[in-house]
Amino acid sequence: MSSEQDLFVGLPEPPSPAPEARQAAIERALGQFDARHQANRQAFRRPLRLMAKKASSIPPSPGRFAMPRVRDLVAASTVLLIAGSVAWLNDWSPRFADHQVDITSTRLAPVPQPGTTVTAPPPSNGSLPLPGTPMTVSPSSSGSVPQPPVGSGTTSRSNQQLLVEREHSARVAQDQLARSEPRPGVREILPPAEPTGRDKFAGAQENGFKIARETPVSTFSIDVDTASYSFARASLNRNVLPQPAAVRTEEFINYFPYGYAAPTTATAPFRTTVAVFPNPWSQGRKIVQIGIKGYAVQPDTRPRANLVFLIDTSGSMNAPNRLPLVKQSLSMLLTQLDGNDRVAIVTYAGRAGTALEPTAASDKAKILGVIERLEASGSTAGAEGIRQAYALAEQNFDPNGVNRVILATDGDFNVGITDRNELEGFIERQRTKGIYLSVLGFGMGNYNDALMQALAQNGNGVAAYIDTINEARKVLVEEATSNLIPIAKDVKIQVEFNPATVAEYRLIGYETRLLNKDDFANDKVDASDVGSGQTVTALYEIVPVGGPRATDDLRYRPQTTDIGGADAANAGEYAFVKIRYKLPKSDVSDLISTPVDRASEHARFEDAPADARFATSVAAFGELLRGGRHTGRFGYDDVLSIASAARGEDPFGYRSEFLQLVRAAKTASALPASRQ
Amino acid sequence: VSATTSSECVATESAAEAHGDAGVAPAILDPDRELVEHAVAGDRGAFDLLLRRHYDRIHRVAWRLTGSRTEAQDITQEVCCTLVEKIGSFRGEAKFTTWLMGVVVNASCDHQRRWATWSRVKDSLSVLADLARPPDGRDLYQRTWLASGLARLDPLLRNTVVLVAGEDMSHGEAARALGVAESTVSWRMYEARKRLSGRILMESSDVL
Repeated sequence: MSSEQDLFVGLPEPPSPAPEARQAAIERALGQFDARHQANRQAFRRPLRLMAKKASSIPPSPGRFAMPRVRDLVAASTVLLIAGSVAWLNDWSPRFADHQVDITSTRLAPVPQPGTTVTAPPPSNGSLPLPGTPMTVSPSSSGSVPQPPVGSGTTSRSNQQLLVEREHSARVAQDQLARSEPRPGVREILPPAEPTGRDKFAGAQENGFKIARETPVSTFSIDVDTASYSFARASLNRNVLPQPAAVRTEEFINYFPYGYAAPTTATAPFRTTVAVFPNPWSQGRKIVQIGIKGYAVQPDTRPRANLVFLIDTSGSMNAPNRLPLVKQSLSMLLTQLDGNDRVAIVTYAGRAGTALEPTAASDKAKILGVIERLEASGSTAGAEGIRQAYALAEQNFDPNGVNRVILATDGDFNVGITDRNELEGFIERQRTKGIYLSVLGFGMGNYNDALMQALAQNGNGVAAYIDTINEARKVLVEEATSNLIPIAKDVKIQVEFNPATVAEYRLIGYETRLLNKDDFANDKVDASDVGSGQTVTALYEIVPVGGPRATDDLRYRPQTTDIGGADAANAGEYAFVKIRYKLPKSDVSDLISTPVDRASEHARFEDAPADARFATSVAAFGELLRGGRHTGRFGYDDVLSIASAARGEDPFGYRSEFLQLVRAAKTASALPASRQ
Repeated sequence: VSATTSSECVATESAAEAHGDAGVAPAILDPDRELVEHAVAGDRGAFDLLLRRHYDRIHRVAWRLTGSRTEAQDITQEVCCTLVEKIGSFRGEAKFTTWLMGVVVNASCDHQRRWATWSRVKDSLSVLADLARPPDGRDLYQRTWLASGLARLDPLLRNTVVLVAGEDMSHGEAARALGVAESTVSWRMYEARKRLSGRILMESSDVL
């Protein structure tokens, strides 16, 4: 059989059968064996058997001929009735019912099995005999006496299973989903396991170059989210390029931890690291890197946490990468909490409900029990769930602690307040009371990124997209403190470029975070939070004066020789970075500023700090995925060579994973865009 | 698909019957021969031993045919039960295992056909009634099955591949078990190999 070996290699190794199943099957068979041989020995015949035998041996008379016909018709219509209503309940296509009639009328299988007629509603007119049941049972027992029909295995299983083995039936139901894959006929009937192509993103065009002389000031809100990167990763792992609108370059850059120097006190919670170095994808231009590191709260002084998990248990969460991953994620987060912290769980699906009243996080058994029992079904009443979750958080409000609602969902709120503004307004009002919102996104296919992003931004929270258990570990364990404990809110960055040295500049990413120049000092204007120990990086692409500009000078505009108010002392500076933030309890903002001067400039790209080089390669990758409007002939291979040289220590392997993603993108981009 | 499957099943059934009726008993070296004879004669211990000896094999084939542990378990139990009756029709023109594989393939077909109608209604009813839990994605074995070529083959080819490549049966034995001509088995193996080797290119648009 050596010729079959190549096929054999591809055959999957089967699981070993469960010992108890083996025992049960053998005992059952032996029971039947005993019954049969006992019967043979005693020549015992039951009346039922005799009748069946006799009935089938009599040649059909015209009168008798009609009977089974009628009976079949009744059986078929009953089946139709049941199947029809079930199909309607489950939103199946009518093709399913057609199958049933087919099989019933041709009598391929003993259709109405005893076990299943139990589930049928009683016939509307009591005068009709129970259709099918006696007839289909008796002819099938063609052997000897008490032998159940072949289907009895299924029947008995159904009873045990429904009442006893809940886990067991979980697998059956999953098998249904999975089995729909290899059989094209059935596939269309079942809803697809993973909806595709319904992810919603609010795409923004890449920032263009601005002329420093005309608009020397660039203002934006900080962004510590990472959802975009993990979403792109999930997509690339399926060998599909993410849609350009799904890529937010700044979230790619900020996904990675950078080793910037940390501030020493909580009162001035930020420290800025700047670097200027040549732009690897554009000769003559430079990159300005602005790295900001937040103050890291010491674990023993961390405030108490009052957390309410708001978990989407709608039917769409019913996929391996959704609810099960949510459960695992929450269990992981639980390991980071202690007895001072409170945890509550609210679920929403069809209607919202409190699954767990606020409980001390030390009572792990109780919390894990509730998490384990979460089930997915129904539609999504997100808004009602949010109200309930906030009510619980308010009930347990701790003025000195962290009060946060953590929403775990795969997407849309399709029931309840569907007006997005109303929802955002509600979350914003809660934020002013001190209850923040974080959003954990799961699943792919109908993930409503835009809404999740907006909600998290209005709730002063983090939006993270969790595609794998490793991502859950990163977000909820390694970065638990940064994601839960804010050190500053409404953090805005304003960079003023010096027209004497910079002709043009372009902010890479942050398109959805841009602010007006005058928003910077306006404390009423909302911006993002920064959590304990977080790093934020912003990259500018600049054209130094005399470098290759993107736009020419205007002909009809006088060329001002006067270059602003730059005096001799700071004439050589490229820019001036200002960070405005509010401490968590404060409503008045403070300011930290750092100049970008010649001292931070590196003449060669290779001399720039590893973090800066790595961030640049990530930025280039993000820009490439968005279409590469500004990256010229820079390709995935160039990203790879920069990133692999700047990988550094990489204790968690995030950067190595990035290299894999770039390779995946290179492969995926070579494929025709056939599948979503 | 279901039509061809059922005709295959019917063919298998009749093939098994035919073997039984033929009544010829050429001398084939079969380690199970003696046990089977005793079991047919009503020896409980022999039947027990026979089931225990072949349970794993039946389960393996059933699993490879369906990719589902639950179903493989059910099918195996069904086969064990039907053997009580069916074993009497085994006349020994082939090895017992060859004959047994025919019974297993047949039972799997039956099972899957029934699944398409009733057990799905039943399962979804139980989900509706909140008695059963929806899937949670922990069956890793099923994932490997779905990822393998088997899931992509249509049932006739899959039956054949599982017997020939998985159970190391010769084309002749597989033909006997499936109740088809030996040349049909050879053709199916050729076809299966062709599809599996080209599956990445050809079927990527079809699957998922």
